[in-house]
Amino acid sequence: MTSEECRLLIPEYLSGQLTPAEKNLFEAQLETSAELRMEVEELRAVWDGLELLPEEEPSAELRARFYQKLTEVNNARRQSFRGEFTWWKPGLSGLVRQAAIAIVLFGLGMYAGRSNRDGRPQGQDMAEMHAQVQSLRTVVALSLLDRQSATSRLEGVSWSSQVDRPDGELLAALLKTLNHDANVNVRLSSLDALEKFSGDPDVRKALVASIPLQDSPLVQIALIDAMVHARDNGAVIELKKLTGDSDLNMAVRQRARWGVEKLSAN
Amino acid sequence: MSSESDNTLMKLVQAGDTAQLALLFERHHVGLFRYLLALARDRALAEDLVQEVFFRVIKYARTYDPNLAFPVWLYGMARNAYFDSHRKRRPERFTGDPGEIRSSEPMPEEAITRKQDVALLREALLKLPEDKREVLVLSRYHDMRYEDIARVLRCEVGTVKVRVYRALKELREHFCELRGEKLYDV
Repeated sequence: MTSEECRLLIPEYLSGQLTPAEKNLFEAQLETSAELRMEVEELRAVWDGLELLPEEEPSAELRARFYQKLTEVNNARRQSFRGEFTWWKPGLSGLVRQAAIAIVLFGLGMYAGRSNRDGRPQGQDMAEMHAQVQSLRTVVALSLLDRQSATSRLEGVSWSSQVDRPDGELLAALLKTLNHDANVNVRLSSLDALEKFSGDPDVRKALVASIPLQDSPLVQIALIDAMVHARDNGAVIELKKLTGDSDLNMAVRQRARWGVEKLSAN
Repeated sequence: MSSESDNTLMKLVQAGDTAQLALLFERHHVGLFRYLLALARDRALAEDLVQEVFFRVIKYARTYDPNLAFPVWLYGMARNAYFDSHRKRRPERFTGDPGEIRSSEPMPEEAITRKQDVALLREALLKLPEDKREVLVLSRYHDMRYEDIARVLRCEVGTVKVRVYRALKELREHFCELRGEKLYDV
Protein backbone atom coordinates (compact mmCIF):
# COMPACT_ATOMS: atom_id res chain seq x y z
CA MET A 1 0.00 0.00 0.00
CA THR A 2 1.49 3.33 -1.02
CA SER A 3 1.64 6.28 1.30
CA GLU A 4 -1.02 8.10 -0.77
CA GLU A 5 -3.37 5.10 -0.67
CA CYS A 6 -2.87 4.92 3.06
CA ARG A 7 -3.76 8.56 3.59
CA LEU A 8 -7.01 8.13 1.68
CA LEU A 9 -7.99 5.46 4.20
CA ILE A 10 -7.73 7.81 7.18
CA PRO A 11 -11.43 8.78 7.28
CA GLU A 12 -12.50 5.14 7.07
CA TYR A 13 -9.97 4.25 9.76
CA LEU A 14 -11.37 6.99 12.00
CA SER A 15 -14.96 5.89 11.40
CA GLY A 16 -14.12 2.22 11.94
CA GLN A 17 -15.21 1.26 8.43
CA LEU A 18 -12.04 -0.52 7.34
CA THR A 19 -12.18 -4.26 6.86
CA PRO A 20 -9.98 -6.23 9.31
CA ALA A 21 -7.43 -6.84 6.53
CA GLU A 22 -7.31 -3.15 5.58
CA LYS A 23 -7.05 -2.18 9.21
CA ASN A 24 -4.08 -4.48 9.75
CA LEU A 25 -2.29 -3.06 6.73
CA PHE A 26 -3.09 0.49 7.79
CA GLU A 27 -1.88 -0.04 11.34
CA ALA A 28 1.32 -1.66 10.09
CA GLN A 29 1.93 1.48 8.05
CA LEU A 30 1.14 3.62 11.09
CA GLU A 31 3.86 1.82 13.01
CA THR A 32 6.48 2.77 10.49
CA SER A 33 5.41 6.25 9.40
CA ALA A 34 5.60 9.12 11.86
CA GLU A 35 4.15 11.40 9.16
CA LEU A 36 1.06 9.24 8.82
CA ARG A 37 0.68 9.03 12.59
CA MET A 38 0.76 12.82 12.85
CA GLU A 39 -1.80 13.25 10.10
CA VAL A 40 -4.11 10.68 11.66
CA GLU A 41 -3.99 12.49 14.98
CA GLU A 42 -4.64 15.87 13.39
CA LEU A 43 -7.57 14.65 11.37
CA ARG A 44 -8.88 12.63 14.31
CA ALA A 45 -9.23 15.86 16.31
CA VAL A 46 -11.41 17.36 13.58
CA TRP A 47 -13.33 14.13 12.94
CA ASP A 48 -14.14 13.71 16.64
CA GLY A 49 -14.93 17.42 16.94
CA LEU A 50 -17.68 17.01 14.33
CA GLU A 51 -19.46 14.78 16.82
CA LEU A 52 -19.72 17.76 19.20
CA LEU A 53 -21.58 20.01 16.79
CA PRO A 54 -25.13 20.58 18.02
CA GLU A 55 -27.66 18.56 16.07
CA GLU A 56 -30.10 20.70 14.17
CA GLU A 57 -33.77 19.87 14.66
CA PRO A 58 -36.50 20.80 12.20
CA SER A 59 -39.31 22.97 13.52
CA ALA A 60 -42.58 21.44 14.70
CA GLU A 61 -44.20 23.30 11.84
CA LEU A 62 -42.57 20.95 9.33
CA ARG A 63 -44.43 17.97 10.75
CA ALA A 64 -47.72 19.89 10.88
CA ARG A 65 -47.33 21.02 7.25
CA PHE A 66 -46.41 17.52 6.14
CA TYR A 67 -49.50 15.93 7.68
CA GLN A 68 -51.75 18.63 6.33
CA LYS A 69 -50.41 18.06 2.84
CA LEU A 70 -50.54 14.28 3.20
CA THR A 71 -54.20 14.50 4.14
CA GLU A 72 -54.83 16.70 1.10
CA VAL A 73 -52.98 14.28 -1.16
CA ASN A 74 -54.94 11.33 0.19
CA ASN A 75 -58.21 13.16 -0.31
CA ALA A 76 -57.26 14.16 -3.84
CA ARG A 77 -56.32 10.58 -4.67
CA ARG A 78 -59.61 9.32 -3.32
CA GLN A 79 -61.50 11.88 -5.37
CA SER A 80 -59.61 10.90 -8.49
CA PHE A 81 -60.38 7.22 -7.93
CA ARG A 82 -64.06 8.09 -7.72
CA GLY A 83 -64.17 9.80 -11.04
CA GLU A 84 -61.15 9.17 -13.18
CA PHE A 85 -61.29 10.98 -16.48
CA THR A 86 -59.43 8.46 -18.52
CA TRP A 87 -60.47 10.12 -21.76
CA TRP A 88 -58.18 13.01 -20.98
CA LYS A 89 -55.21 13.19 -23.27
CA PRO A 90 -52.38 15.64 -22.74
CA GLY A 91 -51.32 17.89 -25.55
CA LEU A 92 -54.56 19.71 -26.19
CA SER A 93 -54.02 23.28 -27.24
CA GLY A 94 -54.72 26.11 -24.76
CA LEU A 95 -58.25 27.02 -25.75
CA VAL A 96 -59.41 23.43 -26.09
CA ARG A 97 -57.84 22.59 -22.75
CA GLN A 98 -59.61 25.50 -21.03
CA ALA A 99 -62.90 24.42 -22.52
CA ALA A 100 -62.29 20.85 -21.42
CA ILE A 101 -61.50 21.96 -17.88
CA ALA A 102 -64.65 24.10 -17.81
CA ILE A 103 -66.74 21.11 -18.92
CA VAL A 104 -65.09 18.88 -16.33
CA LEU A 105 -65.72 21.44 -13.57
CA PHE A 106 -69.33 21.81 -14.69
CA GLY A 107 -69.66 18.03 -14.71
CA LEU A 108 -68.16 17.79 -11.25
CA GLY A 109 -70.64 20.37 -9.98
CA MET A 110 -73.53 18.39 -11.47
CA TYR A 111 -72.09 15.19 -10.03
CA ALA A 112 -71.74 16.75 -6.59
CA GLY A 113 -75.29 18.07 -6.70
CA ARG A 114 -76.68 14.70 -7.80
CA SER A 115 -74.59 12.90 -5.21
CA ASN A 116 -76.22 14.97 -2.49
CA ARG A 117 -79.66 14.29 -3.88
CA ASP A 118 -78.84 10.60 -4.24
CA GLY A 119 -78.36 10.35 -0.53
CA ARG A 120 -74.58 10.73 -0.50
CA PRO A 121 -74.41 13.71 1.82
CA GLN A 122 -71.31 15.83 2.26
CA GLY A 123 -71.24 14.48 5.79
CA GLN A 124 -70.19 11.14 4.39
CA ASP A 125 -67.13 12.71 2.77
CA MET A 126 -66.38 14.48 6.01
CA ALA A 127 -66.67 11.20 7.89
CA GLU A 128 -64.30 9.53 5.45
CA MET A 129 -61.82 12.37 5.79
CA HIS A 130 -62.09 12.18 9.57
CA ALA A 131 -61.46 8.42 9.50
CA GLN A 132 -58.44 8.99 7.33
CA VAL A 133 -56.98 11.59 9.68
CA GLN A 134 -57.58 9.22 12.59
CA SER A 135 -55.80 6.45 10.73
CA LEU A 136 -52.83 8.73 10.02
CA ARG A 137 -52.65 9.75 13.66
CA THR A 138 -52.61 6.09 14.67
CA VAL A 139 -49.78 5.34 12.28
CA VAL A 140 -47.76 8.28 13.55
CA ALA A 141 -48.45 7.47 17.20
CA LEU A 142 -47.34 3.86 16.72
CA SER A 143 -44.21 4.97 14.96
CA LEU A 144 -43.28 7.50 17.64
CA LEU A 145 -44.01 5.13 20.54
CA ASP A 146 -41.44 2.81 19.03
CA ARG A 147 -38.66 5.40 19.02
CA GLN A 148 -35.58 5.39 21.25
CA SER A 149 -35.89 8.99 22.34
CA ALA A 150 -38.18 9.58 25.32
CA THR A 151 -39.22 12.92 23.82
CA SER A 152 -40.40 11.14 20.68
CA ARG A 153 -42.31 8.57 22.74
CA LEU A 154 -43.98 11.38 24.68
CA GLU A 155 -44.94 12.86 21.37
CA GLY A 156 -46.30 9.46 20.34
CA VAL A 157 -48.50 9.38 23.43
CA SER A 158 -49.68 12.87 22.58
CA TRP A 159 -50.60 11.75 19.03
CA SER A 160 -52.43 8.73 20.43
CA SER A 161 -54.53 11.09 22.56
CA GLN A 162 -55.78 12.67 19.35
CA VAL A 163 -57.24 9.37 18.18
CA ASP A 164 -60.92 9.19 19.08
CA ARG A 165 -61.27 5.42 18.99
CA PRO A 166 -57.88 3.75 19.12
CA ASP A 167 -57.67 0.29 17.64
CA GLY A 168 -56.34 -2.75 19.51
CA GLU A 169 -52.83 -2.19 18.20
CA LEU A 170 -52.62 1.35 19.52
CA LEU A 171 -54.12 0.38 22.89
CA ALA A 172 -51.65 -2.49 23.16
CA ALA A 173 -48.80 -0.11 22.34
CA LEU A 174 -49.96 2.34 25.01
CA LEU A 175 -50.26 -0.45 27.57
CA LYS A 176 -46.83 -1.74 26.68
CA THR A 177 -45.51 1.79 27.18
CA LEU A 178 -47.27 2.07 30.51
CA ASN A 179 -45.88 -1.23 31.74
CA HIS A 180 -42.40 -1.28 30.30
CA ASP A 181 -41.19 2.16 29.26
CA ALA A 182 -37.92 3.06 30.96
CA ASN A 183 -39.00 6.67 31.44
CA VAL A 184 -41.46 7.53 34.24
CA ASN A 185 -42.77 10.61 32.44
CA VAL A 186 -43.60 8.55 29.38
CA ARG A 187 -45.37 5.96 31.56
CA LEU A 188 -47.38 8.67 33.33
CA SER A 189 -48.25 10.25 30.05
CA SER A 190 -49.42 6.94 28.57
CA LEU A 191 -51.59 6.42 31.64
CA ASP A 192 -53.21 9.80 31.02
CA ALA A 193 -53.92 8.74 27.46
CA LEU A 194 -55.33 5.37 28.54
CA GLU A 195 -57.55 6.93 31.19
CA LYS A 196 -59.63 8.41 28.40
CA PHE A 197 -60.62 4.88 27.47
CA SER A 198 -61.23 3.55 30.95
CA GLY A 199 -64.85 3.05 29.92
CA ASP A 200 -63.58 -0.01 28.07
CA PRO A 201 -63.58 -2.99 30.51
CA ASP A 202 -60.46 -4.44 28.86
CA VAL A 203 -58.56 -1.21 29.40
CA ARG A 204 -59.69 -1.08 33.04
CA LYS A 205 -58.58 -4.67 33.53
CA ALA A 206 -55.21 -3.91 31.98
CA LEU A 207 -54.76 -0.87 34.23
CA VAL A 208 -55.40 -2.98 37.32
CA ALA A 209 -52.96 -5.59 36.05
CA SER A 210 -50.38 -2.85 35.60
CA ILE A 211 -50.21 -1.95 39.31
CA PRO A 212 -47.94 -4.82 40.41
CA LEU A 213 -45.67 -4.19 37.42
CA GLN A 214 -44.87 -0.62 38.44
CA ASP A 215 -41.89 0.29 40.56
CA SER A 216 -42.33 4.06 40.56
CA PRO A 217 -44.48 5.46 43.40
CA LEU A 218 -45.57 8.27 41.07
CA VAL A 219 -47.00 5.84 38.56
CA GLN A 220 -48.51 3.64 41.28
CA ILE A 221 -50.32 6.62 42.81
CA ALA A 222 -51.47 7.81 39.39
CA LEU A 223 -52.84 4.32 38.69
CA ILE A 224 -54.70 4.26 42.00
CA ASP A 225 -56.23 7.65 41.18
CA ALA A 226 -57.22 6.37 37.75
CA MET A 227 -59.04 3.39 39.33
CA VAL A 228 -60.92 5.71 41.64
CA HIS A 229 -61.88 8.09 38.84
CA ALA A 230 -63.09 5.17 36.78
CA ARG A 231 -64.99 3.86 39.82
CA ASP A 232 -63.50 0.49 39.09
CA ASN A 233 -64.64 -1.74 41.93
CA GLY A 234 -62.71 -4.62 40.38
CA ALA A 235 -59.54 -2.86 41.49
CA VAL A 236 -60.32 -3.15 45.20
CA ILE A 237 -58.63 -6.55 45.61
CA GLU A 238 -55.43 -5.31 43.97
CA LEU A 239 -55.47 -2.10 46.01
CA LYS A 240 -55.92 -4.07 49.24
CA LYS A 241 -52.81 -6.04 48.35
CA LEU A 242 -50.92 -2.77 48.06
CA THR A 243 -52.06 -1.55 51.47
CA GLY A 244 -50.55 -4.66 53.04
CA ASP A 245 -47.25 -4.60 51.13
CA SER A 246 -44.64 -3.35 53.57
CA ASP A 247 -42.03 -3.03 50.82
CA LEU A 248 -44.06 -0.32 49.19
CA ASN A 249 -43.55 3.39 49.59
CA MET A 250 -45.62 4.74 52.50
CA ALA A 251 -47.38 7.34 50.34
CA VAL A 252 -48.46 4.61 47.92
CA ARG A 253 -49.89 2.46 50.69
CA GLN A 254 -51.80 5.44 52.09
CA ARG A 255 -53.14 6.28 48.66
CA ALA A 256 -54.16 2.65 48.15
CA ARG A 257 -56.01 2.72 51.46
CA TRP A 258 -57.77 5.89 50.37
CA GLY A 259 -58.61 4.21 47.07
CA VAL A 260 -60.11 1.16 48.79
CA GLU A 261 -62.26 3.42 50.98
CA LYS A 262 -63.48 5.44 48.01
CA LEU A 263 -64.29 2.42 45.87
CA SER A 264 -65.93 0.51 48.73
CA ALA A 265 -68.19 3.48 49.39
CA ASN A 266 -69.52 3.36 45.79
CA MET B 1 -45.59 -2.55 16.30
CA SER B 2 -44.52 -0.36 13.37
CA SER B 3 -41.51 -2.55 12.81
CA GLU B 4 -42.06 -2.92 9.07
CA SER B 5 -38.96 -2.32 7.05
CA ASP B 6 -38.66 0.74 4.86
CA ASN B 7 -38.89 -1.62 1.95
CA THR B 8 -42.23 -3.06 3.07
CA LEU B 9 -43.61 0.41 3.67
CA MET B 10 -42.46 1.55 0.24
CA LYS B 11 -44.22 -1.43 -1.35
CA LEU B 12 -47.41 -0.30 0.38
CA VAL B 13 -46.90 3.27 -0.83
CA GLN B 14 -46.30 1.92 -4.33
CA ALA B 15 -49.60 0.04 -4.04
CA GLY B 16 -51.36 3.33 -3.25
CA ASP B 17 -51.41 3.19 0.55
CA THR B 18 -50.00 6.68 0.91
CA ALA B 19 -50.75 6.80 4.65
CA GLN B 20 -47.63 4.66 5.10
CA LEU B 21 -45.62 7.66 4.01
CA ALA B 22 -46.24 9.01 7.52
CA LEU B 23 -44.09 6.23 8.99
CA LEU B 24 -41.31 6.79 6.50
CA PHE B 25 -41.49 10.49 7.27
CA GLU B 26 -41.20 9.84 11.00
CA ARG B 27 -38.20 7.62 10.46
CA HIS B 28 -36.25 9.77 8.07
CA HIS B 29 -37.29 13.40 8.14
CA VAL B 30 -34.83 14.57 10.82
CA GLY B 31 -31.80 13.00 9.10
CA LEU B 32 -32.97 14.29 5.75
CA PHE B 33 -33.45 17.77 7.19
CA ARG B 34 -29.88 17.75 8.53
CA TYR B 35 -28.50 16.63 5.19
CA LEU B 36 -30.43 19.29 3.30
CA LEU B 37 -29.49 21.93 5.85
CA ALA B 38 -25.83 21.06 5.36
CA LEU B 39 -26.32 21.55 1.63
CA ALA B 40 -28.60 24.57 1.63
CA ARG B 41 -27.43 26.31 4.84
CA ASP B 42 -30.93 27.73 5.10
CA ARG B 43 -33.39 26.23 7.60
CA ALA B 44 -36.55 27.36 5.84
CA LEU B 45 -35.35 26.05 2.50
CA ALA B 46 -34.22 22.75 4.06
CA GLU B 47 -37.68 22.27 5.59
CA ASP B 48 -39.43 23.09 2.32
CA LEU B 49 -37.22 20.57 0.57
CA VAL B 50 -37.91 17.84 3.13
CA GLN B 51 -41.60 18.27 2.44
CA GLU B 52 -41.01 18.33 -1.31
CA VAL B 53 -38.91 15.16 -1.17
CA PHE B 54 -41.52 13.15 0.71
CA PHE B 55 -44.15 14.03 -1.85
CA ARG B 56 -41.73 13.10 -4.61
CA VAL B 57 -41.64 9.69 -2.91
CA ILE B 58 -45.32 9.29 -3.82
CA LYS B 59 -44.86 10.77 -7.27
CA TYR B 60 -41.91 8.58 -8.17
CA ALA B 61 -42.85 5.53 -6.06
CA ARG B 62 -42.85 3.36 -9.18
CA THR B 63 -39.17 4.05 -9.76
CA TYR B 64 -38.19 2.73 -6.33
CA ASP B 65 -35.87 -0.23 -6.58
CA PRO B 66 -36.31 -2.55 -3.57
CA ASN B 67 -32.76 -3.82 -4.07
CA LEU B 68 -31.49 -0.40 -3.10
CA ALA B 69 -31.58 0.75 0.52
CA PHE B 70 -34.47 3.20 0.91
CA PRO B 71 -32.29 5.99 2.38
CA VAL B 72 -30.03 5.83 -0.67
CA TRP B 73 -33.01 6.38 -2.96
CA LEU B 74 -34.44 9.05 -0.66
CA TYR B 75 -31.19 11.00 -0.33
CA GLY B 76 -30.60 10.78 -4.06
CA MET B 77 -34.03 12.31 -4.59
CA ALA B 78 -33.32 14.96 -1.95
CA ARG B 79 -30.15 15.85 -3.77
CA ASN B 80 -32.06 16.29 -7.02
CA ALA B 81 -34.67 18.43 -5.27
CA TYR B 82 -31.94 20.60 -3.80
CA PHE B 83 -30.23 21.14 -7.15
CA ASP B 84 -33.59 21.83 -8.81
CA SER B 85 -34.26 24.54 -6.26
CA HIS B 86 -30.66 25.75 -6.46
CA ARG B 87 -31.20 27.01 -9.99
CA LYS B 88 -33.98 29.33 -8.92
CA ARG B 89 -33.06 30.26 -5.41
CA ARG B 90 -31.40 33.18 -3.64
CA PRO B 91 -27.70 33.13 -2.77
CA GLU B 92 -26.59 30.80 0.02
CA ARG B 93 -26.87 32.07 3.50
CA PHE B 94 -26.73 30.19 6.75
CA THR B 95 -29.65 30.82 9.02
CA GLY B 96 -29.02 28.05 11.52
CA ASP B 97 -29.74 28.61 15.13
CA PRO B 98 -26.49 29.46 16.87
CA GLY B 99 -27.89 27.59 19.85
CA GLU B 100 -25.81 27.43 22.98
CA ILE B 101 -22.61 28.40 21.29
CA ARG B 102 -23.15 32.13 21.57
CA SER B 103 -24.54 32.01 25.07
CA SER B 104 -23.54 35.07 27.08
CA GLU B 105 -23.61 33.21 30.38
CA PRO B 106 -20.27 33.14 32.13
CA MET B 107 -18.54 29.77 31.79
CA PRO B 108 -15.39 28.22 33.16
CA GLU B 109 -12.36 28.95 30.98
CA GLU B 110 -12.00 25.36 29.77
CA ALA B 111 -15.61 25.18 28.73
CA ILE B 112 -15.30 28.46 26.84
CA THR B 113 -12.37 27.12 24.87
CA ARG B 114 -14.29 23.95 24.00
CA LYS B 115 -17.42 25.84 23.04
CA GLN B 116 -15.41 28.26 20.97
CA ASP B 117 -13.74 25.36 19.21
CA VAL B 118 -17.09 23.81 18.44
CA ALA B 119 -18.30 27.14 17.06
CA LEU B 120 -15.16 27.49 14.95
CA LEU B 121 -15.49 23.95 13.66
CA ARG B 122 -19.02 24.65 12.64
CA GLU B 123 -17.92 27.80 10.85
CA ALA B 124 -15.15 25.84 9.17
CA LEU B 125 -17.66 23.22 7.99
CA LEU B 126 -19.83 25.94 6.48
CA LYS B 127 -16.80 27.31 4.63
CA LEU B 128 -16.27 24.04 2.78
CA PRO B 129 -17.37 23.94 -0.83
CA GLU B 130 -20.78 22.33 -1.26
CA ASP B 131 -19.51 19.02 -2.68
CA LYS B 132 -17.04 18.50 0.15
CA ARG B 133 -19.52 19.56 2.83
CA GLU B 134 -22.07 17.15 1.41
CA VAL B 135 -19.82 14.11 1.29
CA LEU B 136 -18.44 14.80 4.75
CA VAL B 137 -21.90 15.17 6.26
CA LEU B 138 -23.09 11.95 4.63
CA SER B 139 -20.12 9.97 5.87
CA ARG B 140 -19.96 11.50 9.34
CA TYR B 141 -23.61 11.84 10.35
CA HIS B 142 -25.60 9.41 8.26
CA ASP B 143 -23.80 6.14 8.85
CA MET B 144 -23.63 5.63 5.12
CA ARG B 145 -20.98 3.38 3.69
CA TYR B 146 -18.97 4.72 0.79
CA GLU B 147 -20.82 2.43 -1.61
CA ASP B 148 -24.12 4.01 -0.61
CA ILE B 149 -22.73 7.53 -0.73
CA ALA B 150 -21.45 6.78 -4.22
CA ARG B 151 -24.96 5.73 -5.24
CA VAL B 152 -26.46 8.93 -3.81
CA LEU B 153 -23.85 11.09 -5.52
CA ARG B 154 -23.82 8.94 -8.65
CA CYS B 155 -20.08 8.59 -8.73
CA GLU B 156 -17.42 5.96 -8.15
CA VAL B 157 -16.54 4.70 -4.68
CA GLY B 158 -12.97 5.83 -5.29
CA THR B 159 -14.20 9.37 -5.90
CA VAL B 160 -16.05 9.34 -2.58
CA LYS B 161 -12.92 8.12 -0.83
CA VAL B 162 -10.81 10.92 -2.25
CA ARG B 163 -13.49 13.54 -1.64
CA VAL B 164 -14.02 12.61 2.01
CA TYR B 165 -10.27 12.69 2.67
CA ARG B 166 -9.86 16.05 0.96
CA ALA B 167 -12.92 17.46 2.70
CA LEU B 168 -11.53 16.46 6.08
CA LYS B 169 -8.15 17.99 5.26
CA GLU B 170 -9.74 21.22 4.09
CA LEU B 171 -11.98 21.32 7.14
CA ARG B 172 -8.92 21.14 9.33
CA GLU B 173 -7.25 23.92 7.33
CA HIS B 174 -10.25 26.23 7.75
CA PHE B 175 -10.49 25.33 11.42
CA CYS B 176 -6.83 26.12 12.05
CA GLU B 177 -7.11 29.37 10.11
CA LEU B 178 -10.08 30.41 12.19
CA ARG B 179 -8.16 29.58 15.35
CA GLY B 180 -5.23 31.59 14.08
CA GLU B 181 -2.92 28.58 14.03
CA LYS B 182 -0.16 28.03 11.56
CA LEU B 183 -0.48 24.89 9.47
CA TYR B 184 2.36 22.56 8.81
CA ASP B 185 1.71 20.43 5.80
CA VAL B 186 2.22 16.76 6.42
